Amino acid sequence: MHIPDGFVSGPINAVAAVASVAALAYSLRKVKREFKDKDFAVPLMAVMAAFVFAAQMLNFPIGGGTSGHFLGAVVVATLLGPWSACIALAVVLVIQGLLFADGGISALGTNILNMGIVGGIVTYPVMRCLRAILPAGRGGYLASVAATSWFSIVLASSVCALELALSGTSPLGIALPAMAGTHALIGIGEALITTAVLSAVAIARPDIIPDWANLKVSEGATSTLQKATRGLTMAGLASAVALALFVSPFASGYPDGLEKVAEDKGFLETASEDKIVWTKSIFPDYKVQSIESEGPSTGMAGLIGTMAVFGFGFSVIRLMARPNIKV
Amino acid sequence: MKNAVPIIDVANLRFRYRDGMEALCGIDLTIHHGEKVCLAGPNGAGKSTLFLCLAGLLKAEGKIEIAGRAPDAKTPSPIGLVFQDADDQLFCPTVGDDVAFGPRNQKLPESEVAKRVAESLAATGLSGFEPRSAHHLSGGEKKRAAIAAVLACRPEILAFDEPWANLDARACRAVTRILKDSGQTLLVASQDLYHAADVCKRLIVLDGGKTVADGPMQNLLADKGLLEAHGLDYATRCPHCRQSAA
Amino acid sequence: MEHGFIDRYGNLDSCVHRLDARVKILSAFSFIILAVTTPPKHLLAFVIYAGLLLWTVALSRVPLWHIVSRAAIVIPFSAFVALGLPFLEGKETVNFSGIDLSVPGLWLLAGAVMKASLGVAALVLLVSTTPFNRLLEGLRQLKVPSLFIDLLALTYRYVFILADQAMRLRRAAQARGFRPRWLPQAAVIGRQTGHLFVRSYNRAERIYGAMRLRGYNGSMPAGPSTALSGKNVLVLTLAVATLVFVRLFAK
Repeated sequence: MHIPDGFVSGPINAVAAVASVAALAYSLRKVKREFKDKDFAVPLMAVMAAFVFAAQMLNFPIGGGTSGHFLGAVVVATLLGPWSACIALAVVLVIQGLLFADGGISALGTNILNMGIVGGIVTYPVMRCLRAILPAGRGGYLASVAATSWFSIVLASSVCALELALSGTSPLGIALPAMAGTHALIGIGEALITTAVLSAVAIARPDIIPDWANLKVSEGATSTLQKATRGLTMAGLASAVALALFVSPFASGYPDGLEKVAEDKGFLETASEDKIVWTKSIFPDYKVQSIESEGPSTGMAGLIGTMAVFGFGFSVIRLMARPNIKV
Repeated sequence: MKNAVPIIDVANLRFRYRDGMEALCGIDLTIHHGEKVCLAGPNGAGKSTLFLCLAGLLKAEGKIEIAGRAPDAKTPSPIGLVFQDADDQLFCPTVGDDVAFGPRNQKLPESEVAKRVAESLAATGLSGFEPRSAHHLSGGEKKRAAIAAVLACRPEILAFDEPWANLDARACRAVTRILKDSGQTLLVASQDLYHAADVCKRLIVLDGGKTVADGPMQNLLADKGLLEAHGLDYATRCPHCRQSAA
Repeated sequence: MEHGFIDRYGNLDSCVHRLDARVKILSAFSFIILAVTTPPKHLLAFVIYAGLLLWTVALSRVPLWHIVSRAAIVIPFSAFVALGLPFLEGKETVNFSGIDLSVPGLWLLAGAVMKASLGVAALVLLVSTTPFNRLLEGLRQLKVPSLFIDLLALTYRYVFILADQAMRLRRAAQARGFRPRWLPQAAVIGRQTGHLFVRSYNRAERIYGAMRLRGYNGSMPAGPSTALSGKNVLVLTLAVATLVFVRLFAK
């Protein structure tokens, strides 16, 4: 998900950079105020960033020979709060950018926005909501964290796809199912790893987990987690299908709509040879014969593509839902 | 020079871990200025925990007076503690920065900082190591750099937690020399009685969070029964060292 | 230990290495920003950018392969752009094995690939000619907030140790026959990661203890800062002026 230079447009990179700087400044202030022993914040967040960096080196397979890696935003957010998560991720991204050339410098703000702000801060209220909805107790706690981890990956990758589309680099109809689809699987790995980390911490250092001591160990902890995981996977599949069915046809229309508005308001210079014009298009290899109008045809093609990805993953998901998850 | 007032004065020191386990069950300790004391004991005896309590990093119960004051979070401790794992103490970009860290925090002028850095590195045989980064150093060099970093603070008391652990023969000799040359009050926690006997004149044996023996090193070393009862062995030397005590 | 880190050559000696970090940082960042804002059709500009970069690489004595080999990271993202090519409507298309590819789309792809590669190359060169701690000091002197610099420095110090631990955990599992092929096996990786987390947290507490014992009070004390020498200012001015000139006039 690390965007290199040149793939996202200047204006988007600039806006994202400003947003990231503001978010970081705010996060640094909040963190210093929230820590009981505020001097501990610096070494702790540095080591957490180093942990995220190291953890991201452990790839896991998502099928078909491809692999994904851990993001870590939700783990840090759960244990240290959303502001620490944003800072830790930003530090990791700068280090990766400077030491690995992983992620372009001009896109640094965009990457921090996607992984630090969307991944660490935006998903935090989602987790609090889920905790309120799911049954109270340790199983519910872990389930809500698992679900949020999955969601953080899918959301961050979707935002990335949106940025690519708005930059004119790739049509939304391609970028979004591709990004969200693969990351829906990677998100499952993220959820598994996040849960495992919390379980390890619960055994070795329960004092780190906020409120852990107050949560009751309920009988149904394992089954709650399993139910949540199953629900998660169905939700993931359903959203990917919905995206493919409903968004793809409109993706081709979307930039047109944007341009039309821009023209009306006089923002866009007309007929620049560098301007890319998207069209309603037909997916080249898949012409669905029975459907004649172009919109549903693209949607169908997108759906087929998504199902192919998910079909493979689904068998994998079934394996995972077996009662093997230790809480 | 022995002072009438002990530099470390501890009575009935107790410490309990988060999970309830009692690590220190009433330790009494009196150490005078200039003494070189070894604290020995099996794993889990509480040596490291005791050091952390004396340094004020852990909050213990009982009477603790270090250089006349109780340890508290606000004032820096007069104890310079060298940890077992040198990597935990070398956290700056370069060795020079690490050794300068203490003096700079004491708000000394840059010239004095530079002087202390040079002296501390010379004392540990690391002159010229200022620009090196910690992760490129060998185990022995890291240990000596950590010692230099602590020495630069000019603490009144030096405390070493397993100083000879995981070092090769040359590094062991270097560390022994540093400890023998230091003029401060010295506390050494070590299972390695062989090296400790070379440096310390007094031995305190800890086991199960309690003091079980306290006396002149040579006397206690002769008591084989005592040593064996508490998991210690004078004959053991670290695997790399074949050198006899100087 | 080999991590694929790109700051391997930071301690070589060359006229580029000897420049002040601030000059190199500002030059590299200007290069990247200017290159990224150059329209793809200005091919001459890109050729000159590449030429300037190659010349600097030669001066710096950093092996060219080290710089070029990093550009491969562009490939996955380029695939996105490539996939979109058949769907663009442009005034001209070019026929490639039966598919109509739009020419504006091809320019888009070319632009993205050139910009990403140049960006990577410039960055790798920067980091290969400046030891990381000096790079951070340069950033601090360029007014990046000290707190963030402290974080970066501390993190950098410990990524090697933690990355080593992560690799060791993975090798230990491999030695026991663990070859992950299915997603559920991520659970094993999860346990390793959990292990790593607890050890990291414990280490953070020990580091904090060590810092406190040496008088830490919330901020890392910084060394003295120096003004830029005349020679450095000259190099910086020339570099930025050349880049701006190329950006504006090379088409």
